[in-house]
Amino acid sequence: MYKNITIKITFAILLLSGASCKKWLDLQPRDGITGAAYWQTKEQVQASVMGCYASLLGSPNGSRSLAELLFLWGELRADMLATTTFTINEEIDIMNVNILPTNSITNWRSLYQTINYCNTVIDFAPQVIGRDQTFTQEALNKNIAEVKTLRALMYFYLVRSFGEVPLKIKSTSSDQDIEQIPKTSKDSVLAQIIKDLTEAETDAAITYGDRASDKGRVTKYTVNAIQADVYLWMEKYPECIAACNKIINSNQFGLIDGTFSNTWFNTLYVNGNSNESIFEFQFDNQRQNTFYPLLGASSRRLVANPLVLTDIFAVDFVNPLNIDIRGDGASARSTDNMIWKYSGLSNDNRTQRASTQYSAHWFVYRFADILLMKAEATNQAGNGQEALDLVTRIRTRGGALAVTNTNPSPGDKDAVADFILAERSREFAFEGKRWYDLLRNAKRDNYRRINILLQMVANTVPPDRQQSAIAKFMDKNSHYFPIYFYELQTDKQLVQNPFYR
Amino acid sequence: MKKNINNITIIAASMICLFCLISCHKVKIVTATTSDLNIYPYLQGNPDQFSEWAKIVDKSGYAGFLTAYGSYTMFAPTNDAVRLYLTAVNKPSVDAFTEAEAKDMVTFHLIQDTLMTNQFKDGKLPTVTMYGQYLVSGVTNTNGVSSVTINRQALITQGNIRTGNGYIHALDHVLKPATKSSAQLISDDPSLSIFKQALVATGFFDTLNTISTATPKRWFTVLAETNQALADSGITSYNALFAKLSNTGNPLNPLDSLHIYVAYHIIPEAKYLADISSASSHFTLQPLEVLSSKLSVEKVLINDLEFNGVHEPGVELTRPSSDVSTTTGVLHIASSHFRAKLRVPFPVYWDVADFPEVRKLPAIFRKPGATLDFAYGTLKDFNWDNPANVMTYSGDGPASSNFPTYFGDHLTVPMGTTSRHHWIEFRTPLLVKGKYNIWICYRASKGSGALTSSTPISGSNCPVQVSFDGVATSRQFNFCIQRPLGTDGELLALGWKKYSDSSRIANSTAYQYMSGKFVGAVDVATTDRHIVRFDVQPAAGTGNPNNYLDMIHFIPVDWSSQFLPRMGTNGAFVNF
Repeated sequence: MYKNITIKITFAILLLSGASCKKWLDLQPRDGITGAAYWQTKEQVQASVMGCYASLLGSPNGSRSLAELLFLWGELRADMLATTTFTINEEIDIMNVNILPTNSITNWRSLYQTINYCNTVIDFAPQVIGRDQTFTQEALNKNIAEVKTLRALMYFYLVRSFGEVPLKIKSTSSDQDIEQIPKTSKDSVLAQIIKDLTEAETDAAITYGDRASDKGRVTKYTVNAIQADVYLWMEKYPECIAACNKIINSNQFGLIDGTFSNTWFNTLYVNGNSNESIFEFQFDNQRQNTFYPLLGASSRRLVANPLVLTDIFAVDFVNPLNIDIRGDGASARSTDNMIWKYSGLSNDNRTQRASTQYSAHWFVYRFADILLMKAEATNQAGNGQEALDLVTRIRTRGGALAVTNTNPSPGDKDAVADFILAERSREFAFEGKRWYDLLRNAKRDNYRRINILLQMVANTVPPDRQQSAIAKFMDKNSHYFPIYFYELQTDKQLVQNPFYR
Repeated sequence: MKKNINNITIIAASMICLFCLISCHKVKIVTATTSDLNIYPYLQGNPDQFSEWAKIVDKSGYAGFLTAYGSYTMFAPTNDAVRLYLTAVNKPSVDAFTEAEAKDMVTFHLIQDTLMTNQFKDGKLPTVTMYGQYLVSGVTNTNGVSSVTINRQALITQGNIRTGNGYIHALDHVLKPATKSSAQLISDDPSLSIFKQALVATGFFDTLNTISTATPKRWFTVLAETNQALADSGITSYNALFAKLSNTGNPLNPLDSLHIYVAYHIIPEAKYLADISSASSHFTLQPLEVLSSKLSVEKVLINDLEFNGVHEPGVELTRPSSDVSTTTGVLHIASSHFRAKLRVPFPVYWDVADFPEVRKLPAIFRKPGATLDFAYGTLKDFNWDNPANVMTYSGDGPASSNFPTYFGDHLTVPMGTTSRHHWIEFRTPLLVKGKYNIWICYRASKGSGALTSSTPISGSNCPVQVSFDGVATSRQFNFCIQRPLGTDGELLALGWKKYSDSSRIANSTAYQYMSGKFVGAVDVATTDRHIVRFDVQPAAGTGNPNNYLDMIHFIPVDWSSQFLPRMGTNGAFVNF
């Protein structure tokens, strides 16, 4: 009898506790927000867009930060860096034209991460219209324009570095979205970039009302700057000139005066967000760039090639006051060839940033770039004199030495192109543009001037690898990186660049 | 009760059995650390590519060790490559090779090292093949496609296949070892006939025709001159060469100039163009005569020198016909005539504060009052122990009475046994071989204590042992000791000199600190650039911060004067 009651009570308790256990079956995570609960308000859209920008500053998963990657991609294969005893093998291999698919510098993951953030905003932000009555179509379009431009910028870096890449324009937001996709041809990737930029141009904001946002977020002028660069790459010169003119005619930008080199250096490089800038990655003391170990520490891995100061900027042996302000103390420091754009705190007394002050911005586009892109396009379109006038503007501001003026005849298209290329190496030293400049000039008109690359590599590669490097560069596929081996393992649809078989 | 227990036991047992059966999914336990195949199993496992080559490996008897642990690099010809080779050597199938032939083939394709394609250079691979000849790598471009070549005979069709005991690189042709010696190749080439006759006459033909049996093997690199190159210098036949060069009439005599000429064209090592261009000098069979080399954009130049202020244009090695592997080494072709130059030793008054890196800085170089610290690793010709230390360049100006240095500049090199430089190495300008006195010329100064010209001293102390090419000189010098007073003759007897022009003008205590100290005589064995090293001695303790080094003089021992000319602050030599 007694036993029976015990059993009954036990059952009753079990029943009661079981019935109240609804919460145990709740599948919502308690420490995060799910996709279904998100995308309700305009603030959430805003936060996601900012997340896309934040991903430019560094990668949360430990892979190389984007700015560092873009620096390495743009400079390692060109002729302006030198190694130190701390340079890692992967960097040396790229400098010596010895790239294997196992070289982790060729891992494109940081870029695709940003692309996926952008895709997520493009796919989900439209749902917020209607859910949040204060979110207007116009505000949505502005946000979409921003992320489409970022996506286009990422694909533009990818297509210039890898040639053919998989084109993913739908977000991967759940396990069902994971798919294996093959590579897309260069033309299709470029077409998608142009399409994104054209759509973004209509909707992008002109200003956000404060300086940091205008230089750190995508404006209409950012779109135009990327358009100019893309059209120049695609050898569509009238379109490039048109895009440049939109920026020039806006009268929103100018060259920072170079009369006082210290003020110039501070305004343009140390503080950033100057009147000359169009788009910069906004590092600050809380979110620093990763250039301290790479370029600044005593164990720095890369320094400027000694030839940069003597041959590219040149030296006036008679008058020491006659200097190119962009050379010693701006691009590199002559005593130890430290790359000064990211490490320098002052131009005149050569104070270096402390390791906690590495907040120099990454300069994606500056007004000087627009002028020189326009010069390059006008020269190709047949107007050499106008191109030379634009170059002279840049040279006067920088105080370029007369020795570096090759005085090309305006009608000599190749000579003017070489002159512009050399001027770009001075103006944008270590801004991650040199390799793309060399490649763009070499590949123009179906690789008519591949010699630009062959001569460059003959001077940069050590003597015992020189002949191999020249022969490798004769293969156009070698100008593009291999697909990183891990990507090939996870996506069976990808085919390796034939040069790296 | 017993039955009951039995029953329970049976039930329990059958339960256990049941559980066991249900749970008896085979668990795959991984016992190997990797599933990578080794080299030979990989060849077997890819018969569509390597079945023929696997048969040859099998025949050679080397399949065993290629299946086992080790580190190898195998260049594996594909089936098509082996078939091409069979046609070329007229064999019906791979079974027709003898075991010895198969052994030679396999060992020539095998290196006892793991080499990936990014370690390949324009020249020999770092490790010799097990056959005993080096393989040469390179890159060629055909129809816009660049591929790595091996021995200029085969292209790598698939590189860096990773296996458990090394790498496999697939080849489109079978590699064939060189069968001719350097001497044979030279005599086969009619355009080298004069050089060949010179080789025969001087007895070097046999040297280049005999395959070394020593361990490790001895290799020779020959820089042969074509008849055209000799004709350009007015030598059209062997007789003309003999008439011009042979001073004893017997070219077999090692002192005969023709003998020296030929010996100077042979490097006793296997050096491909990449090796030649990446080192600055190379020993030859002519004792103590070196070939200097450099790379000028793409040209490999021999003996392109700046000598005593005059540029002597070099001789180019023609790339297309050079880098030929032979059984005795390597053969290169020189585009013009060259021979060892007879040079007499001459004094080198070396201004250590004049180096290329500072010359590039017009705001600093020889500017009064300018100083600049050069960080570790930024100076091509200077090296020191501690990366945290610097080398300071200081301009004094020609009018400085306190620092009447040559050209008004000096280097500041603090030395000591703690944090300051422990040692410093300098690469000298070109010195002609001969016997020289070394003079260290410095401005004596002390961080603390009064400057004297004798030991023992109080305050800062900085005795330094100098060595030349690793050999210590007979005397030390001390940055903290100034020269004594006396006439030039008296000082010379004590191993001092007044090297500065200013110390001549005022032979008083005023310029005693401008000190030239004799540290010993050295034999410079080769005409080349050499290394001078300063090692601070333990007595220095923390040392001296004010070490002002101005010049180092190398004066031939039999030169007319060891103390003249004196050095002016404006750069002039003063001869009294």
